[in-house]
Amino acid sequence: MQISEMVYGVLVQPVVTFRYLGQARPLGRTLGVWLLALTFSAVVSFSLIRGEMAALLPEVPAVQAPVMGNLFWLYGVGYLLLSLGWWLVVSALYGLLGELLGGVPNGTGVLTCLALAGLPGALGPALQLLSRAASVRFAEGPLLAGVFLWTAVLQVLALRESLQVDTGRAFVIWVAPFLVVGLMLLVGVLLLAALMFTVGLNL
Amino acid sequence: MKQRLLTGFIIAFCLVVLVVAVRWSPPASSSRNVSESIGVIRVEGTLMSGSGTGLGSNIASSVEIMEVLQTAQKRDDIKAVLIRIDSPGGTPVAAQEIGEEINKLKKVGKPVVASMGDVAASGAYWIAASCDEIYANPATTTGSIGVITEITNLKDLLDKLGIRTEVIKSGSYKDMGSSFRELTPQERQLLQGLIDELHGQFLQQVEKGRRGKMTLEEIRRIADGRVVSGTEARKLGLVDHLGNYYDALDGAARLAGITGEPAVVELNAVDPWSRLLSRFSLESLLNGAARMQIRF
Repeated sequence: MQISEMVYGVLVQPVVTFRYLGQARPLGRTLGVWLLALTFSAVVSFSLIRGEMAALLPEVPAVQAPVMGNLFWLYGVGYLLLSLGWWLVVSALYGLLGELLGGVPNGTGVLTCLALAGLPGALGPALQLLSRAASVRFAEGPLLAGVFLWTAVLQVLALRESLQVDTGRAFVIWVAPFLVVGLMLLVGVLLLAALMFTVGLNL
Repeated sequence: MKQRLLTGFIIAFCLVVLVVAVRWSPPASSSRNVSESIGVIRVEGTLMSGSGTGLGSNIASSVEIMEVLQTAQKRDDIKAVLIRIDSPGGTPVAAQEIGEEINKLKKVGKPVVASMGDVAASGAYWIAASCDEIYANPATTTGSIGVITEITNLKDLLDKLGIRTEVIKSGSYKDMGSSFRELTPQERQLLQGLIDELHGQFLQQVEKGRRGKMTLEEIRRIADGRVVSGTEARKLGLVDHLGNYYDALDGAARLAGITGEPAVVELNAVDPWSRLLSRFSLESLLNGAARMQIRF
């Protein structure tokens, strides 16, 4: 399967494509597609925050230009590393959860399918940029929600096909890390609030 | 066929987005595209002349505040400055340095207004007195025009512990203020002279800043270190108006001749994490610890 076929399949015929990719596991080509999508996403999302970053710097072109150049590379590398870390960690976690819930052990398959299932995610910053450039910022919310939903559905399908579990279990596996992170955030916020309340009560 | 079409569409879409990403400039933030702004400078914490207060510090560094005052002077879009004060005072030099920089700002025609928060006492009042107008809340604690130094005498405690300090010095006053012995009458006289001189400088500054609003005699009567509420300070003439931060912003806009709602530029905003950590900072814990320091 060529790269264009992989992309087309994920976007148009995800079930069949993920079933094939989960078995064939073309990790090298997947990594290529993933890197391309991520670079595109990093460039576009940097352009979204460029204004805010420039506002933090002195209004001197001789200072702004080199600093912004360095910031671009820093942002790009950070974006890439964080995404890579997230991809590896989440894939490992999904693989483990999948096995615990009766799925087949298929780490590389999960890694491959999950990377390609995240492809529509690159659309998020792109649509944000286009709606801002066209001065229709109100469209951002619905568009981002649509992209999130599409990506979520693809990821659940990717897990279902690569781990060979039913849709319900695939959904449970998919949602579990979000629940854990959400719970940790909630506990953190509650602790912080308790701390601020204790030290802030004075008159 | 369908696959080729979709691939072509994806490539075209990506190219269009990349071109937009490179060419499109996001609208500048409000601080940069307006021609008339009010710069807000926060003076929060104990005034000290050191630079670089570090994360979580509860120190208002005069070096950092002078830097932002200079920024306000240089930026053409900033037509007036509001100094938001929440400080119990600090070292004389820090207050003087900031006061001098405020005078420079006033000289270039940019009005400076002080807005007092919970506390604007002593050295912090020095800063406020340097401004064109002062706004205080009715419950603000202000005043405390005076100079103080405290020396903790640990001699009896050290004697009980059997600890003795040997001092080798080049002059009889070199260890003046030492915590290991009593002050001599001569030393007390010298220190009192220093304190009186600094108090005189403080009075001069307040008289200069409040000229036409208070006489030197009126200032002298209350310059005994007493703290007063914002309401009392208004009656005494130490502040010009009772009002909150937004009233002070309006006042600054009025003095600068800005019509309509002015844009506000925070020149030294403190991030929430530093604000939280400052409650646990070493400086906060050491505040009031045994060390000789002259302060307003």
